[in-house]
Amino acid sequence: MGKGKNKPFIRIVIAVVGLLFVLGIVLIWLKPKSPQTELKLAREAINSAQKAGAEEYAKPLYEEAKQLYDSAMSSWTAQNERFFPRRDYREVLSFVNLTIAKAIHAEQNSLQQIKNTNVIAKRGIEDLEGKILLYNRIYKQIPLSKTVSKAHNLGVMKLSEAKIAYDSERYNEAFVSYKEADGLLNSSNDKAEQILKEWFSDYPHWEKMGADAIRLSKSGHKIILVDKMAHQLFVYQNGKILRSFKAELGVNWMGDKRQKGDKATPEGMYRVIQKKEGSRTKFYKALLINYPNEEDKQRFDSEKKKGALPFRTHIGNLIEIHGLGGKGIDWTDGCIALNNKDMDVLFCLIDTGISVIIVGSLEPLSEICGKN
Amino acid sequence: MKKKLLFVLAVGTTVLFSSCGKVPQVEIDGANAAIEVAKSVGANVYVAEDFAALQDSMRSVNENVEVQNAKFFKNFDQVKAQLVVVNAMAVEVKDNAEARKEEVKLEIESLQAEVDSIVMQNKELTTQAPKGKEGVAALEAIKGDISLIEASLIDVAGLVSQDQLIAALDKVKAAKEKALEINTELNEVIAKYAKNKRK
Repeated sequence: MGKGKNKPFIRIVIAVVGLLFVLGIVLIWLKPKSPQTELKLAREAINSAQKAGAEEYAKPLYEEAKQLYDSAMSSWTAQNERFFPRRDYREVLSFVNLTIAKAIHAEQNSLQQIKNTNVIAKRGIEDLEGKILLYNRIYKQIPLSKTVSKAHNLGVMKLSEAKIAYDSERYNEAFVSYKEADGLLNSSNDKAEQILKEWFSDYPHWEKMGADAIRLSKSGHKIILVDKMAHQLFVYQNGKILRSFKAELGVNWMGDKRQKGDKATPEGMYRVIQKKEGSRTKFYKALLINYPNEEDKQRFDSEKKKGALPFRTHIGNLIEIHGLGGKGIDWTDGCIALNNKDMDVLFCLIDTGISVIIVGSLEPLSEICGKN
Repeated sequence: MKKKLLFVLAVGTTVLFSSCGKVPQVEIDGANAAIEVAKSVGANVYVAEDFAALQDSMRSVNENVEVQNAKFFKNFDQVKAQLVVVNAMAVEVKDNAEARKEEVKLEIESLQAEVDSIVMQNKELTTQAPKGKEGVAALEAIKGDISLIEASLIDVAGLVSQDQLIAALDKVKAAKEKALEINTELNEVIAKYAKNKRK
């Protein structure tokens, strides 16, 4: 009897369970697909961007891509917390698509940035190496202030740092160091160039003096022509170079001599007034020239009157062409020094009364700087 | 019978709609902390590729956590196994970063000692260089250059103390190049001077 009473109930339970089972199957079938494959693609896109250096070379874009990926993950987590039939991954997929697009953009941007930085740094480094060569070839030999040579040397060290970073493919660091080196080396070269340009404003006068000297030698007389910039002493006769010698000058050889003790080598037309050797000179052999000449004296007096020179200062004297040179540096107090072997030759060639023409340069500055 | 059936139904429903495993949050936090430790010793700088791989592995773990969270029957065993690997990787990456840092530090120290020695040599050479009026200006210039190298070495020490080892390494290498350049220049001047003196 009891069994008979339970039968309808059992049927109902079985029906309910069956219905629930079918409902479960339908819900599972309808359950939205988890976006794991898409998230994996987004992660791979980020990895690819990172490998392309985006973390450093396209940082804002790369960071945005990472944030979008994190948003996708957060959205996925939020959806997973919902009852499964109510989950909706469309927002997750939207973030995934944005992540992939941003990561690709970051990667492309990074590769372009690397290419650009590489090219700029490489060209910049080569350009600065050229400037260092120019400094060593021309500017280093001119008397420069400590500030200029300090800027140059700091620039040289910074450029070494740039080259080291560049060789290690750290282009951003190479670029930063290159920019610093660029500032330092350009400032030192610009200052040196400015000094040279100011000095070379006298070039037309030197050119004329040089041409006059050569013309003078055409009469058969020997003349001495000194090119201070080239550090060369020429002996001309009949309009042709008879001999040439390497010359060392005063410590502050650039510019005309203005007063005693300025260690500058004078510029102008002089004559040999005395030949000295043995106990008469401490510089092996010497040819004394008539510095100061009339022009020097006039200029000196005029500068003193104008107050450009102190009242008690002296014009200086005893400028010679002498021996004991060959030291490789400009070291005299304003004289012109040759090595002793060359001095022997010159001493034999030259008699008193011979013209000595000293000019800043026989070549224009553009030609000097243009030489490799 | 009725009660039994209701009980079975209740249990079945509970099992059906509840998870079988819990997110291994402690292990996840541990792995994240290990990655932060690796980063704090400079893994992202000194072993950048390994560190990137480590970060990628952690992202993969997080994805797998969500894969399981999306399931009816969650199983975090694979995630746990991955976390063990990530933890081990983090330790290895940290150790490698520390080792690489130590290598860089030693290289810097060795170069610092080398530059110091060249600077000393250069100072010694300046005492042998021409002392007369002919040498004064050139010597002053060279002494100026030497002082720049000494200043650069102070900068290197500063960068090392700030843990900026790569920048310090570049700087000390550049200082060495300059010190050697001065050394060559001084030796040439002295040789030339000695040659001229003999004449």
